[in-house]
Amino acid sequence: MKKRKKIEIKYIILIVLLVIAIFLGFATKIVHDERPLNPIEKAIKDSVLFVQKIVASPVNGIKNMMKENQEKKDLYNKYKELEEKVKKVNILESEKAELKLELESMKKTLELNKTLSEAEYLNATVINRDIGFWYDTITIDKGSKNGVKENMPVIVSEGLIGKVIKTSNFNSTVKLMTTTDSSNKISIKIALEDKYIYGLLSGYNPENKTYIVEGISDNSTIPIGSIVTTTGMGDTFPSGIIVGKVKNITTDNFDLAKIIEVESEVNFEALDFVTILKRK
Amino acid sequence: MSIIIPVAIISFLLDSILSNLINTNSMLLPLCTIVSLIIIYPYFNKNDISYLKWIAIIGLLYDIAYTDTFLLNCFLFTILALMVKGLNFFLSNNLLNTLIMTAILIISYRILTYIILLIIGYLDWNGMLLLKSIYSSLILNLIYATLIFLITDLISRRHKIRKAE
Repeated sequence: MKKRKKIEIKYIILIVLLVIAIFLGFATKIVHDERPLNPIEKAIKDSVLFVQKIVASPVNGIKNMMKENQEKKDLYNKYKELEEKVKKVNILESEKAELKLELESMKKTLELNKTLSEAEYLNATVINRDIGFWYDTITIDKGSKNGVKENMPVIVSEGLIGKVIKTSNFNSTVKLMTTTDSSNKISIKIALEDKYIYGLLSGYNPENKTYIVEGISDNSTIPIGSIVTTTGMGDTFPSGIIVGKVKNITTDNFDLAKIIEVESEVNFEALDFVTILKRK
Repeated sequence: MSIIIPVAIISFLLDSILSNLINTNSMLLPLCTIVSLIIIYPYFNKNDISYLKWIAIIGLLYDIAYTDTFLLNCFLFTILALMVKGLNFFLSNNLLNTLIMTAILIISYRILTYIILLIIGYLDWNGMLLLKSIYSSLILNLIYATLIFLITDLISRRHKIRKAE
């Protein structure tokens, strides 16, 4: 009797281990970002988020009203600030026209196709933010029916925030740049006075809230505060999207290569509205 | 069912609504759906199979609607449901025990998710992040557990809805 019980326990342990192994293997497939949603998942996701959007609309209305009231308090200061800016607009307009002509001729010469000016902008509202905590994603209310496709860049006025990784018919999931996922590498350039220095944005440091840039191709001195933008190399991000500003420069353990910390001005913790860059 | 369905739906939707109102880096991360697993258990009156089925469906919806994973939370929620069943065997149904169970479940959920994501190579080891995920999820969910326990208890007393003690 005892022997039989022992054998039974052995079988149970074996089955449990087998189930865990199969589950982990399965989890590897399902958790990673490359997995597209199947039609049933898309339908369920859209339906649930539609209900959620309706339920959340009064709450969001109150939130927006409070935000508006707060903004109204600063209205006079903002008006003065804008008045100053308007004075400079005419000069900037003529400069822009000049630069646009220059850019067109340069693009023809270099056969460049991927610049920011060739993207269409699609505004979207954030429905929920990183509920799973570990995934560094947000869900937005525009999907494949609005022309959103996977890998499209997503920005806010302060700069790049991430890219679309999954789309259903009326919603999309955006992977944020704050992910610690090491496969998330972006080619960037740092603007100096007379040239650009190229590097690779290789990760995010959640403690300092900065991006880490490695592979700097130049020995030039990089001033703190230099603007970092995307290069347009690779398929995802067009050239010229602001990533952030240089915050700190260190060297690696062998004192050979520079490691640059880049600080973004985006408040990733409170994203409400975003813009998707659609390719024309 | 008159308590189970509203609590499950409200908690599920609250997770999403609150995530949009509260900063993601704050100390108030919502996990209302997990709180609801504890609150609804007594209303199944020891019908464990029905309870586990419900939780698996809630987990699956959570997967599809919120985390874009498939069956991961379904599996985790079912484990948590088994834990609720086990804890209810030792602890009677009152507010203090509900709060203790809420804390245990949140800690277990965070640790289990982290271990799975670590094993499959989705995350790198960062003990501080795990700790942060736990302590920043406790406050809001303990408050929610208190409120929802008191409300459901009041409703069940008023309408004489049977629940396991």
